This record gives sequence, C-alpha cells and structure tokens, in this order.
Amino acid sequence: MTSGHEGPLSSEVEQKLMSQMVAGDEDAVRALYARFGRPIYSLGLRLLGSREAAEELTQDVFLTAWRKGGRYDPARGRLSTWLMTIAHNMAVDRLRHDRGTGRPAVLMLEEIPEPALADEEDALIERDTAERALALLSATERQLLSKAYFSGWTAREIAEADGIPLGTVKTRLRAALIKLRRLEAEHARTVARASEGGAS
Amino acid sequence: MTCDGVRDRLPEFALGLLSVEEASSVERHLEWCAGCRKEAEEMHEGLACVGLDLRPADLPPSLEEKVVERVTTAAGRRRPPRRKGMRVLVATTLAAVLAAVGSLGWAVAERNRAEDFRETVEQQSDRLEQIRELVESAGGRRAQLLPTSGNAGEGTAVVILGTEGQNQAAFVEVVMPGYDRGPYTVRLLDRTGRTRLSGQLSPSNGGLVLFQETGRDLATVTSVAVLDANGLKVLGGPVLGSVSD
Repeated sequence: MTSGHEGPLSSEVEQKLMSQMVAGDEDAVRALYARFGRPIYSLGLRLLGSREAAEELTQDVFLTAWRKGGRYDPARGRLSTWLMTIAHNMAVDRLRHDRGTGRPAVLMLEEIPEPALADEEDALIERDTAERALALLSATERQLLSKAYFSGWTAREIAEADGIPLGTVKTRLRAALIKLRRLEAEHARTVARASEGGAS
Repeated sequence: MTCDGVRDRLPEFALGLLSVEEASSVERHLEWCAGCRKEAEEMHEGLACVGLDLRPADLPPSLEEKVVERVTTAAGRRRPPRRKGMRVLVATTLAAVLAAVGSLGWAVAERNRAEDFRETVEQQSDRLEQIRELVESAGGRRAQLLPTSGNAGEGTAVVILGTEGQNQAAFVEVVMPGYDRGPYTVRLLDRTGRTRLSGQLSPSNGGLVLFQETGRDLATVTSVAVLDANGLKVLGGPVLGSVSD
C-alpha cells in the first residue's frame, strides 16, 4: 500500500499522483494516503483533540484535495505544504467553530518526537527538516506559533491574552514564519550539495 | 488592498485566521502580486514544517479505506455503500439515481470561503443535471432548498414515486458553508405542514438522507425543511410538480 519511495517525492511524481487521484485512481489515493495520511491525521488529533474528529478531518482533507487537485501547482510549493495547509485551515475552522466546547489546551512545541519506529521507514523526510527548523526558533517564537497554529488564536487574541501590542504580535509572527522557511531552505540546500558531492 | 496591507495580514492568512472577507481580499491581491505571493508561499512552507514536526499518531486501521471510498465515490469510480436496513428496490432506475447523486455527498466548503461554497453548490447542481433524465424517467419531483434569512447553505431534494405497489423513496442532499458539521434534521412536509417523514442529516451518513417507504404515501409531500440542532429552520423549499420546473 505504500508508494515505495524513500525520501521526498519529486514534483513530477507528486503532480502525477495528484492527477491520478483527481481521476479517481484508487492506487494514487492509497499512495498519497500512505505518504501524507499520518501527518494529516496527527495534526487533526493535536488540534481537535479526538480520534473521531481527526478521522473526519483526514477524510475531508483528501476529499478537498481531490476536489481542488486541478489547482495544485507544483511551481508554487511542495505537495506536503499544500496538503498540510488544507488540513490546518480546516482544523482551525472547526476549532474556532467549536470554541468553548472542549478546545484542546495550548501545547508547546518543545516536545521532542519519539524516534521513528521500524514500521515508519516511509515517514516523510521533511520531519527531520522540521525538527531542526523549530529547534532554532526562540522560546517566545515557539510559544507564539503554538497559540496561533495549534489553538487557532488570532493575533488580536494573543495580544490581549499576553498584554502586548497587536503590532508586536504580528511582527513576531511574521518573523517566526520567515525564519522557519529560511532555516528549512538552508537545510534543503545543504542536503542537495551533499547529494551532488556524492557524500555517503 | 495594498502590498503593505496584505503583508500585515499574511501571517494570519497563512495560519487560516483571517475572516472570510479579509482572506478573500488577500487572495485577490496574491493572484496578481508575485512578491506578496512568494512571501505567502514561504510562510505556508514554514508552517507546514510545524505540522510535520508533530509526533506521528497511530492511524486507525479503517481510516485508509474510508479515505479511499470517499474519494473514489466522489470521483464516480464506485457506488456509494448500501445503507443498513435498506430494502432491495424494485425500481432499478432509482438505484441508478442514487448512485449518480450520492457520489457527491456531504460537502463542506473549506475555510468558509465564498468561492469554495459556490463551487461546491455548482458541482452539486451539475451532478443533478446529469441525472435529470434518470430522475424524470423515475417519476421524480425536485425541491430546491434555499436558506432562510440569516443562514447560508443550499440543498436539493428529490422525491421519487414508484408505481403503485412499489417502493417510494426520497433523498435530500445539502451543502453547508464553512466547517458546519450539523447535525441537521430533514422533514418532508405535507400541504398542512405536518411532518410525513423525518431523518437526520450529518457527515456520518454522507450528508445524504434517504427515505424509502412502502405503503406511506410520499405523493402528499409538498415541501422539505432542514432544521438545525436547535430546531430552527435553516433551509427549505417546495417540492415542485416535475423535475423540469
């Protein structure tokens, strides 16, 4: 059932799989699920706090991906980014809709993930990149992102809760997101250079 | 909206925290502004890292099949599953109608954006157009469900009347904007406003309610109402005399 790929998929393969999924190809759906099902489900579980909600979210995300698959443009970013954006936006929509009824507690990002198990060999290689990027953010930046990303707090809500100016929150959020992206890009270049050099 | 205004909103846009109106304004700007679009893409990539950093959870064993079924059914590659307790229909035409219409199922417009909702409604309308001949040949009547004041959403109901002695059936399908999960109650009403049949509409049954009755006369159904969890009517419409109305 897995795609059989190790490492990130090429943009050509991602685009092909998306086209096949839009056409309703079952194997393509299974390949994409094998690749992205777990991070989407995990995100849903973290934001929404229940397995049932995370299952519904995962199904909705793949259905949305099918519906919008024609609009996916690999020139604008990786498939993992596109799918995780859909997943996060849908989860936040539900979170804010349900606000006040069992909303998960604010979670910090300092948690160190467990080492990958043997049956997770096909886990996304992007996870290694993400861990490095987040570890290089300041504690303040991680806390800010946690409130916004995992709890769906707007900048205004964070500013009011923390007693800091709205403009400061927006500036810090923007800086944190830009830093995340740059750290990830630097790592990707490092990996590419090592690969070209034939490093073992 | 200017670039300065957009860039001020980009972090919250990337986090999915803007209102529908603001998000739409930002999206329109990004369609033509390469600089802001690049920054938005970079923010999305950075945020994807946050999600991918989570400790992987154990996947429910049945989830893969659910995902595959939903996508392939929506794509028309497989028939929707037969519901529990559904009796074998005498009218094969009705079964074909259900297979064709049921493949869209519950649709929730992502992020409550107006264009997503509209696109989903258009897909639903297109789907009904595709099976119009089938519905007509089965003697079907249709109701277009419109939102009551202050609500959003749209829906379609079809009442199929079999010939005397055969099963009669009706199904109702709705599209709601945003992450609006219901549940909703569907009622088929007669001319006096009395409920002839009612059922529950929620994502768990794919947003499609099927009533199948023998002996109870669905010919008396003249309107359809969809009520929210508080019992307030959110959608409704008359069942017209023929599908072509």
